[in-house]
Amino acid sequence: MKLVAKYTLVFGAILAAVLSVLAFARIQYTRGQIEQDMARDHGVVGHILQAGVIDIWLDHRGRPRGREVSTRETLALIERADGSVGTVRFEWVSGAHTVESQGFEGNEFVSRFPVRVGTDDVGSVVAREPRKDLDDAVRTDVLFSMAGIATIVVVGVLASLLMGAWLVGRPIKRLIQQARRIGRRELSNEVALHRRDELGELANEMSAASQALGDALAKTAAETEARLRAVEQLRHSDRLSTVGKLAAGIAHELGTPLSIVGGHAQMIAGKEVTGDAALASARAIDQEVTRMGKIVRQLLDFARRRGPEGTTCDPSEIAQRCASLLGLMGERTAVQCEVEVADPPLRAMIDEDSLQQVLTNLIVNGIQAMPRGGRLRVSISRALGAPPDSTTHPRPCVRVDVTDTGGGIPADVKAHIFEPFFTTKAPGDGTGLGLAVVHGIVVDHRGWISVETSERGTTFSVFLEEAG
Amino acid sequence: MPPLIVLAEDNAQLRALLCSALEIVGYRVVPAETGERLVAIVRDLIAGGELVRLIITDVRMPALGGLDAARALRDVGDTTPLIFMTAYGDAWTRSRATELGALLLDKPLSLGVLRDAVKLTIAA
Repeated sequence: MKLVAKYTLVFGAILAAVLSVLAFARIQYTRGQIEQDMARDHGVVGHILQAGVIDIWLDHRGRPRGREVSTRETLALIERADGSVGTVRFEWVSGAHTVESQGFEGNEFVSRFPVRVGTDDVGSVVAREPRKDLDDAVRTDVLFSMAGIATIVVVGVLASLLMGAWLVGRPIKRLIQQARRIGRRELSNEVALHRRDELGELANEMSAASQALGDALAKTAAETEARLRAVEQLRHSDRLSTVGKLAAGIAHELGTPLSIVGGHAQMIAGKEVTGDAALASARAIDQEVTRMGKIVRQLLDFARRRGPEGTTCDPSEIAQRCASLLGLMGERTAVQCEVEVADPPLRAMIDEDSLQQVLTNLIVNGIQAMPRGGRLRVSISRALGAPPDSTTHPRPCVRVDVTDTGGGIPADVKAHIFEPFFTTKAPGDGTGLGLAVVHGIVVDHRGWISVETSERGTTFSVFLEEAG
Repeated sequence: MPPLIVLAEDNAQLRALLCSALEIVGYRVVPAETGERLVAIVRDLIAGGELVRLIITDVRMPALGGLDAARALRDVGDTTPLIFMTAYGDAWTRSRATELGALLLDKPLSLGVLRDAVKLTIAA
């Protein structure tokens, strides 16, 4: 209704202004008319009196009459006429010639009609009307005009308010209600107004938009559901294929050592080998059993033994410990290990054992990537980051970089490095579980891991939640 | 002259064990460490006039696997009987082995089973 009020206010102001201008013009015109009427009335009365006075001063033969009687009769005539057009007086000659004149003198409208008898000026008939009379007439006119204008404006404003409320306010209220329904997702093709004006058009457009929005939302919902189903399916098949890969890996990794163990045992049992050869067979069995034990332990690691919930540790401290232990291994191949600690110290949301396992695997990999020597660098810092393929905002986290100066990872290999039993190392050197274990531990602690690689070296970046 | 067998297996321990297990029961065995070595050895032996009676090969080996090595030999016209060894004999591997007219043995391997398979294949 504010709209109608504003509109009405402007309408009322313009109406009042226009009417006032018209009234002013009319009053000016009326005032002129009144003045003219007054002058004419003065003229008529004045000229009659003028002729009457001349008649008084001359006898029927045109000779002057006695001064005394003429004066008396003149005053009597004038007295009878007084009040017909304001105050009427006779002014005797007092020197100079008087000429006929009409006009305002101070606060009065004054008309003078000179009386000449023969060549002698006797005096003048003078009519005076106060300006106040004229002003009173005009003032009355102004008051009536103002009352008229006020009435018209008040009636106009009221009519405008009522019509506005009826024609605009009510339909707009309904449109607002419809818009609110759309806002609440109550989408229907119901038309809020049935009118053939702009508001009706707007109502039609709104209902069409509402229906289109409803259709789009339904479509989006269906698509989202389909996508969720697809993702779920994909996840399921991914899990299946991970299990399948794991099974293939376990079968392969254990199939060969079990064949060796079984073969040697059969040969010993069948007495096909004796003496030193049997001893060598037994040693081979022992060696393979150790190897299988190692695989089983790593499988357990892969099954992720998590530290207690909420445990934290200082990654700088763990990195220094790992680097000093594994640095000895690097020295054989002229690999230099260095650690850049965080300053001030940081705490990450992970237990010591898990982080130690992560760093051990990454550092060993880094050292093995540089058989002809190089530099291995572990640096701990605070960083802003978000998991890859996620839409979450970057958040502060602890970043642990393990950088080597090896030859880098080829693109086809890089795609598989976190898969269990994937290895590029010679048989016996690695089980292909290391990076899969690292990945599992990091993800388990709500972190993520990324790889940057080129022919100048590789950086594994582990992102973990910061504690506190 | 004992029958000649070429055996490819990437694990040195198992390779040595299988070679000696077969040699003990009277075969001549030439070991190969990889799929590439297997192809090269077989072609050299045949070119040298030797009769290779059987090829035994592991399926999963770095670079050239057993299936691909056997396919490479078949492609150059070699028809030597084949025995595959695999730790993970899925349907796909089995069908590939059948296509090549070969026997597929699962790991862990029993020496008895291997010797029987070798004996049957060479007799056939």
